[in-house]
Amino acid sequence: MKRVCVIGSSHAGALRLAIRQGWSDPELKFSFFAIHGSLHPYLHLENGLLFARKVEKVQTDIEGAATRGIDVAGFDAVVLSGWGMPNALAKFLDKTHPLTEARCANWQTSAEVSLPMVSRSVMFEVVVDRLRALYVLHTLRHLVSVFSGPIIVQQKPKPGIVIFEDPEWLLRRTYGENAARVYAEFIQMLHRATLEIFSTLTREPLLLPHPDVEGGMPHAIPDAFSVSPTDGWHKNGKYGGIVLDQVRDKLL
Amino acid sequence: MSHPYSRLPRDGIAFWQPAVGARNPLEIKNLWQAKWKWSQDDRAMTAGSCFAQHIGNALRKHNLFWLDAEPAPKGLSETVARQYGYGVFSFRTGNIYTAALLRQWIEWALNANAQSDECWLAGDRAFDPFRPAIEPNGFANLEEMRAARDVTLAAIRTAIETATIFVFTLGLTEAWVNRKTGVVYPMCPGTLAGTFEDDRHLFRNYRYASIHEDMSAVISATQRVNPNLRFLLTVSPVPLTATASGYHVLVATTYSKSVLRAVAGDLCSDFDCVDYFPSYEIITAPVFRGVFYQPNAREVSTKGVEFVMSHLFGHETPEAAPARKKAQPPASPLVQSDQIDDVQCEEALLDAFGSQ
Repeated sequence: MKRVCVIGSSHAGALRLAIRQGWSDPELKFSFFAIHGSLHPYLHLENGLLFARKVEKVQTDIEGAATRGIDVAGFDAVVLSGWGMPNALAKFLDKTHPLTEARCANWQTSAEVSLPMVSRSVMFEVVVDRLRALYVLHTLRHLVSVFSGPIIVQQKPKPGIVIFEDPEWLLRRTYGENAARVYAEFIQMLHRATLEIFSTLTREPLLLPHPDVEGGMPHAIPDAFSVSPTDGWHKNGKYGGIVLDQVRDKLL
Repeated sequence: MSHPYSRLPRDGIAFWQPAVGARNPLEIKNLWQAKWKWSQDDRAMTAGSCFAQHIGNALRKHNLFWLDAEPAPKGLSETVARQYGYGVFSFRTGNIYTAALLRQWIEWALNANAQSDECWLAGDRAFDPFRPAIEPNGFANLEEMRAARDVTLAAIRTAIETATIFVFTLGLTEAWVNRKTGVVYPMCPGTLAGTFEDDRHLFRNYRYASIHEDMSAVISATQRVNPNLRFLLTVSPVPLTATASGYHVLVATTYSKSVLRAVAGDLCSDFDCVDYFPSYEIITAPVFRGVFYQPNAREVSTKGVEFVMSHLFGHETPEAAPARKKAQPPASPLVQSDQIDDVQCEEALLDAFGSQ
């Protein structure tokens, strides 16, 4: 049996839910270490152990890990869950999202919004630079330096369709009816940018593609995969199970 | 016997021996008699050849207002931004080596002439013939190239409308033009991008009258939009990388720089709003014995740039200038961070494309 450590943000919750709801594989045993918050998982490295500075935010089933840190050497594989940019919410994170700072030539904004136009290449470079600045990349670098087994990275899931129907959602306000098309292109950029960054690490992690779920679209997935009707960003156990299937395919 | 020279101060700038010969070259003073003082409220736009990039950097270092009319999008690192032509000049034209090219950009920006619809395609990428290095891998398609050029033309208009000083560095007399449309290219087609065709592309070595006319047209056109705009002209001390004139590159360089220097001097005499700053002389004069050049005798060293800037800003004792209290709009992370002194010089790429 392979022992798998899932290190993640709130998005790791879907994987945990899947196991609680019955997903299992006799060859795999999962343990969890999650820290909620958009910028997480942000872990520090000391004496070969990965630990969180804010213990109160940690949710883990690894005994003592919250205070002493995780010794990943005790695992056969690590899944880093929650890779990606903070979501474009309608609150303080608005100001940091690249899609609200500039637009590509064919990204038509709402009539009342004016954004500077940049080339697709420049937008891609912005995405690369933003990803490089993420705390989660520090965590990934630490992992690459201390762990010799497979490191699998799960991206933040695509939002639920309900998000695109919310007139108050930042990107909806910015791009109107074009928000879906813009976001679909943005997801592709994120994927390419991630691969570019991974190629510069001393060892390349395995990036899971967004799962091909039933009814999925380039920009979103059906709300049937959302953890609740009011939270289109976080996913449920059904979605988590599909991700775990992807992990199994990589490991077995 | 009394004559005009006898009335000049013996220890002044008019006599070689006290002004130059008897001095340590680094202590030569008053090389520039500025027509007007550079104030903390001035807003400077910069454009021109490679050397002009140093002036924008120096302005920022000295807490003077450098107008970034086309700032990089937030989140882009300074290094990458410069690769894409952000923060290099006041707008993303790339290097403007000739007066003819400057006139072309200005007339397009002010809608005096319809812009060219020429595009250089390479596979599925599109290069702007008038700034082929601005997107290292080209634009995604023709529409993107045109939209991006419109952004730059709007930025040029904004800069002209809001700047108080336009620092322009004249670089070359040589250029390539389209035989049919007459448009001027910054680089020979086929070097950075595009394809060179003998029957489409024509070499031009602009003469004094033509350059004077182009610069006069630029000054007049911009002053119609902004009567308060003043010009500070410089001539780049960087020699030609290559010449298509048929002359030795050193001889061609002397011709080119001499003509540009003469035009700049005469424009300074012709227009009250035009001043000339002698960066060319400061680097190239024999008294400096070429010490401000890099070993290839072409590129100017950091020390050389600093020396030039000490003369440019010496009048204002910039080191003593207080930090600006006003914000530096338009905001760009580029303006606030440490400067990068590597210069984007497309012309230097001619070396890479020249015959072995």
